Amino acid sequence: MTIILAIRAKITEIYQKYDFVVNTALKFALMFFALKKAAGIIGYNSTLSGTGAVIAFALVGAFLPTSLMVFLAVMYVFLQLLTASVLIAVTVMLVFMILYLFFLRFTPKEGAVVVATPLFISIGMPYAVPLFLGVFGGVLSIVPAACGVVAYFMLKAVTNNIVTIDQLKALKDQALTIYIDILDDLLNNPPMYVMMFVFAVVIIFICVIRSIRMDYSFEISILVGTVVMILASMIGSLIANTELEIVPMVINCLFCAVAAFVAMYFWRTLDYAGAERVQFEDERYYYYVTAVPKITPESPKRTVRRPKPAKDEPLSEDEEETEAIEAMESMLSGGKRPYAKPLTPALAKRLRRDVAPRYDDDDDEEDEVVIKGPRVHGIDRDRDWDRDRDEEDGAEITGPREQSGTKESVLEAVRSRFNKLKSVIPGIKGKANASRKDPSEEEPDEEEPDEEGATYFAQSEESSDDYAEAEESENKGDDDYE
Amino acid sequence: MIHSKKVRLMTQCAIYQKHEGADDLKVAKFFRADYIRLEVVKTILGVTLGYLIIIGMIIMYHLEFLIANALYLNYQMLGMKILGYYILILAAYIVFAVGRYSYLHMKSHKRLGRYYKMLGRIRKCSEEEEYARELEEENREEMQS
Repeated sequence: MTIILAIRAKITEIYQKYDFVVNTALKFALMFFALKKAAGIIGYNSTLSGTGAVIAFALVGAFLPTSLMVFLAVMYVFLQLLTASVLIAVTVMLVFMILYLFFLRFTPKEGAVVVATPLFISIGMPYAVPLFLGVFGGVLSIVPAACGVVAYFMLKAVTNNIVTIDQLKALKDQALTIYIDILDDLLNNPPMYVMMFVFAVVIIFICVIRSIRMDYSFEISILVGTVVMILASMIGSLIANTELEIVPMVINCLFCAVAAFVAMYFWRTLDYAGAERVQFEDERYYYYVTAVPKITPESPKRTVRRPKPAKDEPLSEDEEETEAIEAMESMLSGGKRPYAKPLTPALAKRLRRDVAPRYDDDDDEEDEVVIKGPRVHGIDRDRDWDRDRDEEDGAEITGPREQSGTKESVLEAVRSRFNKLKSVIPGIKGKANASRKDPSEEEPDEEEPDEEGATYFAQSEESSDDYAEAEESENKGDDDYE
Repeated sequence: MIHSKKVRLMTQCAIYQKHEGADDLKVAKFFRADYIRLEVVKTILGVTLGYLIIIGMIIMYHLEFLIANALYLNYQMLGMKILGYYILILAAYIVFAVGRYSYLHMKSHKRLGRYYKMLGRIRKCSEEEEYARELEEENREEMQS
């Protein structure tokens, strides 16, 4: 799936960059193959049937609007037939004119369909036409598709009645007979009507189903369209009494359905994906703008693992604690790479609980797995800065390095600092363990904390009372030092 | 300094002009009734021409029969039949054309409404820009003085 997505992204990228080139190349390819097929059917003029002439026509057609592509293709057919018989060439031209005046003038932008339909029928994939038109076009696409079918069967009728130019020249006096035969062949042609009927029914079905607001409407419409196409072909051939090989037809339908699926998969990204290049001006600037549409490819579904709620989590497992501490150490010492060690959800949970408990007030955040930036700052704020500073100063400090931020760690930090001060200055009185006691139970000769500190303690929340007490005791220690 | 919102709006307008806008602006030249009338006239001409071609081809198809029975044909009946079919086909096409071009006019009118709204917003942006520029100049003059 990833490979397919990558291919699709690559194709989209190429299409965005070179949309004009891609569109022109597609039109060129369509014209080239259609004219080459026409030359194979009615190649009476050897010059026009040559690859060079076909390429020249296709090149011109590639740079014309789609409505004029049909005109060019008709002109090519006309010139080919003109070599054989003027009457037949004029007849074919008149039939095309009728098609245009009655039908095609209402769908001028779908000229490519008229050219593509005979091509698809001649290569043995007629069933792709309604599927593609149903998915990418509208109900009115029936008109150009039907005209394409008529065009194909008309060329077939011409070839059925004119085998070679020599034969035609021998029948010069019977041009009217050939004209009548061609029209007979064209009008009394049940397979043509069956095909038009099938095309119309399938296009209508697909258009109706895909317009229903439901999930996978396009996919369902293709599936239903394929089934309807198989059934309609059978019913049509039964009514018209035409030969139909069911197994090849079904295989052909299924193949076309797969092709339609693939095309739809790419088209959904490619549609409107072409970058727009526009230029305009206002009173101050000339603007040459390339507007590239945003692509939002369907990303693969991601499974989000959520840690279990805190109450269900085993809290007192030594291994987990050790890992958590290690991960924390790794994060703290990682410098610019705070996530040097990969964190598992359980570790993250423990880190958040153990390392920065004062910032974990919001219960809703417990479901989050990722630790974001502010958390890192919180952890950094809880580092044992005093100890770090002492270590940098070269002081010899014994005892384990404590986790910052926890009650015990803070108390231990205070205790160690107090003991250190006591050892340096023998005059200091008091015990480090006194920090656990209530300030009111302190020795009477100790000074009360300053006003600012008192305000801070008053404002601190219940969850951080212990930390406040530790702070207080540290202040007391400092005061004693003073 | 480039006004990004204005550029966005102008780009949207330019893209619209490049695609549907060209046709819509042509449609907008006419009132709805005039537009439909014009298209119906075109349809009548097209159908008439197509019908004449069909009649000509039918005549060619039955040419031998027509020549052989030229003296015995009921031309009045034949003419009535041809005319009857013509009127039937024409009526069907006129109904279709009226419905289709009414719908197209309505759609293009809606799109043009949005387009003009965008133009209004562009004008507003230009005015704001102009006002800001004037203010800036005034401030500069004050500072200099």
